Amino acid sequence: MISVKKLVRKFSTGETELIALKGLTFEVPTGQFLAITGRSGAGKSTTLYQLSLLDKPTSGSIIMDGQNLTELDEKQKVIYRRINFGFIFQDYALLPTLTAQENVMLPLLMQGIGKQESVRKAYLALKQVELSDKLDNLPSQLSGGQQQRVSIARSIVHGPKILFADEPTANLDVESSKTILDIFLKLNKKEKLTIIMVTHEPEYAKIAKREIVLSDGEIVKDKLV
Amino acid sequence: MFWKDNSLYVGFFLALREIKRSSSWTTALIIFVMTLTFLNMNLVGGVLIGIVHGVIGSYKQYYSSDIIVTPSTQNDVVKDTSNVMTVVESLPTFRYASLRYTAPALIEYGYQRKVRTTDLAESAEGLLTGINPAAEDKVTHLSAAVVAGSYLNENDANGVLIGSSLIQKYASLRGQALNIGSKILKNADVGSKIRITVNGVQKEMIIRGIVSTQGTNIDSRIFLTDTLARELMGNTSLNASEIAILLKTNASAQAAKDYIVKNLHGDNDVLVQTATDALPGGVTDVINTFTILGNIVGGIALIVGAVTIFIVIFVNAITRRKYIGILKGIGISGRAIEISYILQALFYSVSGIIIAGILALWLFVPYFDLHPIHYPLANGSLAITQTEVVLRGFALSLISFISGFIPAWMVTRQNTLDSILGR
Repeated sequence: MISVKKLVRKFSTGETELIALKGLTFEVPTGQFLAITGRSGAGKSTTLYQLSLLDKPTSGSIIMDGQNLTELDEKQKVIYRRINFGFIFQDYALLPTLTAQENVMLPLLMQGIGKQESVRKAYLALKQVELSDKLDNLPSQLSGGQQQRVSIARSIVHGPKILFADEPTANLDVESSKTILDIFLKLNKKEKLTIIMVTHEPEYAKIAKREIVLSDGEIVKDKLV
Repeated sequence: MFWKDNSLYVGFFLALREIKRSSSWTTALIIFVMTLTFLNMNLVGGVLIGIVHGVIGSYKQYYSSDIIVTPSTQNDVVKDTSNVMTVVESLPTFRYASLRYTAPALIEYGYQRKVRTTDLAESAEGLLTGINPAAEDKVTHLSAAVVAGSYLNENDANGVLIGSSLIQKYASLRGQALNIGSKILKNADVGSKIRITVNGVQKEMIIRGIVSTQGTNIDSRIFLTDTLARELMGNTSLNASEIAILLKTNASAQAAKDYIVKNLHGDNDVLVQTATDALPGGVTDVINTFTILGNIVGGIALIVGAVTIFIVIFVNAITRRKYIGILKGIGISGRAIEISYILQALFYSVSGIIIAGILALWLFVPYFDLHPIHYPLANGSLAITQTEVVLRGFALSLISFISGFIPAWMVTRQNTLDSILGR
């Protein structure tokens, strides 16, 4: 369960102050598939960055399993992310000098899991996204959809509690987008994985169980789909 | 600590793949630059120090040997030379000694063709040096420095060896600068008849050979047998002007000097010097200057190496700032990323060090030993030892470590989200 209370994020540019999030309060139960939607500049990605500890809120709290995550220092946040979170970026964010399997292995190696075990788990994760035949391909040798599936494999290989996805289909064609969303649905249903996905496409938000619509840094709609 | 969270292993994992899959041309170019940097660190200093070694070596080899005994400034000869020799020969590390009898002399060539007293013959001034050819050869191997003609024999009653500085043909060969009006024998050569004047006494002699040591001290001397020299100088006392002493291999020159000084009890009023003590002030200045220059050049090369590595790693880290952000985003520690860049920096520098080290020690040093560079002061080789190369290698590696760490640290400490979004 994630509990977000009065979350505020302000950006200052010289004398101008922009309030990107105006005191968001909501809860995400374990195993929920949540879509955060809204227009450009509504605060979707900013919300995701706060929840995933990539950014620090100006005020408010994010409580997970009874721990206030906003109080963690940078090193603690890195360790927390490593163990508990999976992250999928809009532009796949794979390391160009690592093969698909090596990209997926990386979080496991960082956790101190041995090479053999990491190789095995990476293979299983890639098999889960139907890329077991592309283990040794570099990102440059994969299509956009395939790269995003590698990115999904990397984000789930270590068994995270929450999967964050920032516009995961934004750079993909319809066919690839459907494949990615199908994988999300499977992970949510079979693995009971909590997924928080930001998207600006309302039709993709419909596959989630719940949709929060943001506008100008505030929740304007919070509904179960 | 980094080994607790596997940062070292992940850093190694990332560095290995980064090196393996980056452009081989870029990698080769960076290693090439590091090779040149390390060669520069060793070669330039090595050449300068090589000249120094050449000067010291030449001076010790042909003049002072391990210990040189000379008269004090008040005297022309070593008083009671036989007593001094008794002490010297009692030295446990004593091997051989050569007694020399010296006096300033004028040599002339072509004087036979002078018609009028105002006509000028070719002339030069040198230090007449009487030696026992066999003893001198045991101490200094002077015969090995004969570049034309032959060495003296003990019974030679009218033969001399002339230093290469005194005859134009050989002075030019050793790179000596000649000015108009230089006092030098222009046309004399091996077999020529010359006239020697010492203390007003003249004698005609024949040039048996030419001595060239690349050391001005010896190359401006005129060698002849000690018997003949003492006769010309009018020295009937058997007191020598110089005593060069060769010690047993690995014997301490300082200990030998101390022994001689102690056992002479100050009775003979002589100057006992090791080869280093005996170097003229000017040569010592040159040695100090070249040593400083060698160290400065080495230091500059070290800075160049550091800057090169810094730029390479900085550009690499800056262009991959986004990926560094992503790595941190997926939970890779900043330490693992720093280690990855440090290892890359070390790979480039150590590769350059190994290649340059092999080239320096197994190509350039043997080459310059076989083909020394001829300087007016001495023959210069490349003074580089394995220990020096290893120490400089450690220095460059350490600098590379720091130069790899700083840019990686600068980029990894940036805000993760800013790095990912390129803000």
